[in-house]
Amino acid sequence: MKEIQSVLEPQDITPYLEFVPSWVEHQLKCLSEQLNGATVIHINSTASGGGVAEILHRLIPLQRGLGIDARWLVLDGDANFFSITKRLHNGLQGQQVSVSESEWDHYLEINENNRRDSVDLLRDADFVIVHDPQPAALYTLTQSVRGQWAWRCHIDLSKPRRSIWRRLRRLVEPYTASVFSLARFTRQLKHPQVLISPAIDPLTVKNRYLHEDDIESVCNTLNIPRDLPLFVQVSRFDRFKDPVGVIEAFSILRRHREARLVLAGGSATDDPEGSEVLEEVRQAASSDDHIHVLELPPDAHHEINALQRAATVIVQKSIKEGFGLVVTEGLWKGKPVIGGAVGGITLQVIEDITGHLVHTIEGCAYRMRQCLRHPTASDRMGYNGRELVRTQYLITRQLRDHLMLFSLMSGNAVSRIPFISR
Amino acid sequence: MRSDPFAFRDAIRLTSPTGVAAATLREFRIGIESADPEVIHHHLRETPLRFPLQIGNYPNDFALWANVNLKNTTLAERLAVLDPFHERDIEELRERVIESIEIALDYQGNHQAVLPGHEFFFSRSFSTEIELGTIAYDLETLIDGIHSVPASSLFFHLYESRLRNEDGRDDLSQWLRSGLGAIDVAERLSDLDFYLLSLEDCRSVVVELLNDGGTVR
Repeated sequence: MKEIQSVLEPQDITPYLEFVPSWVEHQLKCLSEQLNGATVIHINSTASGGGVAEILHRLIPLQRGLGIDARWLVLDGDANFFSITKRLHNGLQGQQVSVSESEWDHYLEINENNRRDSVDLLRDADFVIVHDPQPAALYTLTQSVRGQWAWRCHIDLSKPRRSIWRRLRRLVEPYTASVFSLARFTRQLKHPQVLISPAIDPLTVKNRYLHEDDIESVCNTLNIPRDLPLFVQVSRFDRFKDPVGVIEAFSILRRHREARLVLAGGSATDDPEGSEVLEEVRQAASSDDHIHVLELPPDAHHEINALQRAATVIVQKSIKEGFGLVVTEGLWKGKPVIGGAVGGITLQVIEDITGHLVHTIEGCAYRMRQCLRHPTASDRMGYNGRELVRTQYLITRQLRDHLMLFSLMSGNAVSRIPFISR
Repeated sequence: MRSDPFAFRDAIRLTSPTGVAAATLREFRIGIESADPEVIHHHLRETPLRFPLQIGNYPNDFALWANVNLKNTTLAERLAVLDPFHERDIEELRERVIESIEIALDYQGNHQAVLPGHEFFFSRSFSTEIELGTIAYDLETLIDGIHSVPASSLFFHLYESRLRNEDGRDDLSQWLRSGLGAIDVAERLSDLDFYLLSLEDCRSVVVELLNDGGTVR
């Protein structure tokens, strides 16, 4: 396995204290002191690209800043191995896939080679966090480990292909604990499972504070006039995000109110279905020059930040969703969110407190109109949304949850008991 | 009268799903019947921790799910009226939840299964307790402390402590009485009904009561 050196420079928590109350630092220091400089090894299958790598790039320096000897190892594998693990990944998410016996053997063989490379590190670490299915076999292959191991599953395991899950389950059930992002992603396992929700980093280009001039400048560049209330949905051009449904809802609103709608999504050149959906969106938007369809490059974080801040209301009318970090981003910018009542959106959009949950196009149109009709209520929901993210969905909470996981695995955290049962 | 200062504490929690889920009313009943007491405690009592700013339509996870996912407001109302901080016995609470579900089953039958992803996921929480380093020596520093500690610390000292302490009083009332000799304020605080207040509303009400020398009800 290859160790990633770029995360070894500790990141101090201080810059984050601008966004969170001072007790957050105290909680983090208390929990990390209990760990007494423990060694933590994160293992995954890639150093760049994808959400897991993005999390580890930010989380590990923060863990090191708290005195934890956190390190990051990346699995070495050949093309065949990654083709197999891609199928495992898809199978765990419910797709029909096939993995032959010889492919399972190859999967174990690559895990074994990686184990042999790093056996001393793995045996001596206090905590090992193995991310996703690719390196999952490392624990059962590593004999006589000293520390506690957790399997961190970032994917939706709610409806796995039984043949794939049966094999993988044998590999992950011996771990001390497993970690999921949402309760609905979990399975029944013999060890404790815990939830660690995704989080956003307020210091990144996508989330950091922008001056009004920067917002204005981006809107000018993208030709978005700021003359009317603005609804913004940022998402891939994907049917599960229902961009055409948003246009239909906006059309209903436009019978009553003047407004603008921005649908901003990533480039769809490598995704045939994405191109098809983008075409449908352009078609549906063609009759209304108040609808702006933007195809942005993958690194347009500054532009997305500015659009979310320019919005009057953020829309995320998904009909299927994982956690929905784009909703978290919108809430963090102090905007009310109209979200589809699916997945992690239901955890973040609390009805009439941080926004509105909708089930239909009509419901979306109704809530759009309501948000404009009641600007004071919209402001209140925007304020509440930012506070919700501040307390529950910033990286500092994710960091704290990881420390709690280590605490749990070392026996310092206990099941919350009902105290008195007569 | 002076005794030890009051040291604010906090229980840092991590939610732990059991892996058991209910998609219908019947499965909901079975899940509640077979759940560990910690699971019932989590879903009936720890809901305010997830909504610290404002209590939603219903005050506990069971009632919220009945309303939002089963669309059964009759059941939601029956479950909402339970006061899990007044009733300390978790088995008594469990029985009352099951009774309400059985009434719903008798009158309305089993519901269709909710959509995938909208099931009730039975969970518990794991926690570790820490001292926050915020210390109160008198009424003024107590108010400062209440202003500055996390909402979860208020839950620990005001809500859970009424279950934890033998006399049923919260930690702050106990200290006001034994530490400051402020018996009148202590009485008024221990009489306050926190249930149905969000933790942030609770913070405001308690600060107001302490500022006014215990006159707020």
